[in-house]
Amino acid sequence: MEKIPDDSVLIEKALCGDEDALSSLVRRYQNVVARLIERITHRPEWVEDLTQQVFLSAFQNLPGFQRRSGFMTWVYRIAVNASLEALRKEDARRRLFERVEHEREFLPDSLIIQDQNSGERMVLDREIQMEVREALERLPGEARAVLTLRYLEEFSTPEISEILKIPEGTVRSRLYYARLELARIMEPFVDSAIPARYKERE
Amino acid sequence: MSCKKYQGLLVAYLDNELSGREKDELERHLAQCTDCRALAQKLTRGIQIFKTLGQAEMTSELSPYLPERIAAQVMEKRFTPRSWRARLGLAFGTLALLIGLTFGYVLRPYLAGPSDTRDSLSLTAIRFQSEGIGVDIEGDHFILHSRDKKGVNGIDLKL
Repeated sequence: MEKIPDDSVLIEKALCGDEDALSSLVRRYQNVVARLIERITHRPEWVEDLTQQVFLSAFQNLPGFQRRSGFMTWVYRIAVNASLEALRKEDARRRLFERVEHEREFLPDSLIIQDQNSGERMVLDREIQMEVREALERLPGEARAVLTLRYLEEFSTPEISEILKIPEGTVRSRLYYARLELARIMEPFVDSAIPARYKERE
Repeated sequence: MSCKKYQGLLVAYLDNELSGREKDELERHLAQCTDCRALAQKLTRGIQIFKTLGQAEMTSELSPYLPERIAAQVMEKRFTPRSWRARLGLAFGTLALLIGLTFGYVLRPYLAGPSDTRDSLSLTAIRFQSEGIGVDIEGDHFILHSRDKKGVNGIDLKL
């Protein structure tokens, strides 16, 4: 069986102008990059363009790539920055009020949320899911990026520090304020409104 | 430690990233501080919804040709080290030519050939004189001196 070359081998080949090595690196990481972009931007229609932009940027800067961090960490950093830049450029009003209709089709009829601490289960129907998604749109980009890296991509504090190139203390502080903001935004859904809006599934 | 210090550790605690003395101290503090307990409770709000919605399937799809398309674009834009050298060489060459032409123009009077040496010397003399420096040309000697012609500070240049 042919041995799968590791990143450093592919990078060396890519630097020598090997087109196959370039496409192999894209194939290896395109899905994690696309997933990260979609999770941060919540804009499925941007994902392919931004993914392409991330890899083009990575490859054009490949000669200056410091091998201290891994290729994936480096590409993650570029993806986070590209996502935040795209969000900054977007018209804030459009973001708040334009509903992406096709997104609704992809939502399940109901979604079960189980609280890790209390074990309590909640069921969100499609309408509530849309409302929660709209509420999450109000989270600032940087807060969403750090929450995504921690709770969806499941990176540790040192790993996030490496990806975002910020000190670990700053990562903790950003997580703290992001969670406070998330709690504020989610308040209508998880406090008094919950019993009335969520149906317990037997 | 103050409440503020403990609050800075709350997220790490809720994410099971704390251990040892820090964790023990924070737990002792939480047992007796209702404000910090309330804050810890607040910080857990919404995180499960965020995780569950975020882990839902992606709705975007990537083109199966994306890797090849990106690689082709990179190759198109790429400057190989050789072509970089060629471009750098061309840039330096042009710069050297421009510098040469400029110096050639400025030093033209001084660099004139033997046939027009006399004319060039006259031109140079006029320039020095306009700067307040006296010039005498004697045979193939070129003497610069102050206007009062005391001569002691004169410079004698042999051509």
